[in-house]
Amino acid sequence: MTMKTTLQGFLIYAAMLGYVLALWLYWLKKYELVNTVYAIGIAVALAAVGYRWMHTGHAPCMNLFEIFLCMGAMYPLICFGGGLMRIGSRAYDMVVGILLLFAAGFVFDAEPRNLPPALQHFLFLPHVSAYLLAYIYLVKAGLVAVFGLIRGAPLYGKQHSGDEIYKLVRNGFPCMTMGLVLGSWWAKMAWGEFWSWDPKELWSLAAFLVYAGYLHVHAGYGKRYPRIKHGLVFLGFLLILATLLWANLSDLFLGLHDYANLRGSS
Amino acid sequence: MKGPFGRRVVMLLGIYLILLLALGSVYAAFLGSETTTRYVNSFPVGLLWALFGLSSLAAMVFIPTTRRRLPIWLIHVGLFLIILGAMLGSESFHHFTQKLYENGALRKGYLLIYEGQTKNRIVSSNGNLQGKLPFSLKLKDFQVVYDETGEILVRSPGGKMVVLPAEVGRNYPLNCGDMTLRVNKSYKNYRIRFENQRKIDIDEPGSGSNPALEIGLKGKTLMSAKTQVIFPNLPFRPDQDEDCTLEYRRLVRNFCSDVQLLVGGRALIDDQISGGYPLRFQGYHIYQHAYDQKSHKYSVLLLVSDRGLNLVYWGFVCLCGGMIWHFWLGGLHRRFTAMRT
Repeated sequence: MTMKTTLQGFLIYAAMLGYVLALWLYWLKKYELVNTVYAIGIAVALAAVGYRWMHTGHAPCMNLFEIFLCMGAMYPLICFGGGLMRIGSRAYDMVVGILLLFAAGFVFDAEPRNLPPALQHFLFLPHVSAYLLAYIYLVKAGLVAVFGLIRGAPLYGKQHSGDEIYKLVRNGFPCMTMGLVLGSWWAKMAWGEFWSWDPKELWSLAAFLVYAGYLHVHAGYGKRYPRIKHGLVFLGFLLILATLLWANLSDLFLGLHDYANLRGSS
Repeated sequence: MKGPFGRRVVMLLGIYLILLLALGSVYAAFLGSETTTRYVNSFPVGLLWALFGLSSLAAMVFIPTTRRRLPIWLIHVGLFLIILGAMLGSESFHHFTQKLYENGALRKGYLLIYEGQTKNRIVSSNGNLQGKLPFSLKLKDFQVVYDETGEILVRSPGGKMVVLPAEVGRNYPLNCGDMTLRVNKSYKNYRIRFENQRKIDIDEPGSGSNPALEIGLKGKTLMSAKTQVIFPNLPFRPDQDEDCTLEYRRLVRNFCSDVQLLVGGRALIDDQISGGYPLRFQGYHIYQHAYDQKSHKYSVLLLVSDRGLNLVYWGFVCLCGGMIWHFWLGGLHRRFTAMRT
């Protein structure tokens, strides 16, 4: 775990400070100030993303540092602005934003790396963007499901947690499908096979299938079996974590997607 | 079996199959790509995928909502097309058709061609001849394109490896002998010239290529600060007492083959094949796969059969179209109608 003493690092820590301050003000119930401070934090996080893009000359979606940086800006932004994502308390979204930026600011290596030839393709940005968007919705659904499983009933807010989860999955799952399809199309163009049974592909397929299973249970049984549905969404959330982190960081899963690992490029 | 009972059975079967395949995917992630590909091409796993594809069709027969609502119908048909296309394009199906008709399509193979050579023989990854193509490929030219900035590979004591971007003007602390490194200058075509018995390093313009990097080293263990020129594939030891080496590496941005495709000796296509941009001809995709890293004299092209690919692509279109329609546009339409009423 290292501090980043660059302008990039300064922007990340400033954005984190914005989120922490907003969370503190929320806790003090100074709601009139929360939005302003939170919005400033988001704007600084977006500036950090923009700076990274300018500095490396490519969309910042190549390695885990860049993915966490983008998610640390996009997750709070979508939760802040999007009507649908205004599910539950803002405080939870702030905590997620802080955790995402913490990983970018302290855990992952920010040394810029050139894009390997396979990544210099017009499908790189749409594929990763679709997945990022999917992860934002589905991570939120996973958190709602965790609280639903713990408390057993409505989570926070007036809506039943089952409805909240369904709305989030309904938005995230098509993004995930498009990410998968765009990735397959790109793999066919770059590697010759649209599916190579690579460990990361298999983790993402498992996550896709679990969410598909959830939607089938929802379609077939309506509001019955809420714990099974919550459990499936939570399992999907764990599989997303495995796809994003375990598959990239562990030497157990060496494969075609190694460029996204902690060290940057392979 | 139609009616509520059939509907329940098909729905339950679908859910079980989905979750079984999810579990199988997690297990396969630990096996690695090669072993999983072998399993997937085996009969039992093929049968499971076929059952999965058929269950998505069965849903349209037994579950009225799937049949009546076009977006859900599209999602299920899309899934069926993807599975069908993948099965038709699989290694096992290619083997089967090759046994059936003696000269069936080749599934996958490699072409190693030197500049100026024309070839139509396909070999496997271990070099065994797999067959001949109905067309030939001539390699007219092969180029490797490098990035402006390369990187410095630092191997420190204990085998630790660090990669530093070779950006001119940057300083780095080195983990060997408390040294610091500064990148002074990068050369595309490094040459030495002697003027008045003095050695001068120059970057000679023109088409020649001799990449090099000039670095400055300072440190407690060094007698004085020194300047050194380092080259690719030539590790340099900055301090003889320390087990530490520096190596300049250039980064490949892309590599491309200019090819001519010939049928019956007649040139039909002149095109460039590069990473991510293959050539498509007569049911095959031809990719830039590898190259002669030492002298850039030959290129390795990968050839993959397209059988079933159009079905997969149509499946993708149906799946994504159905999802967008059902989950996003359907919701918007319902909200819009509710607002109007």
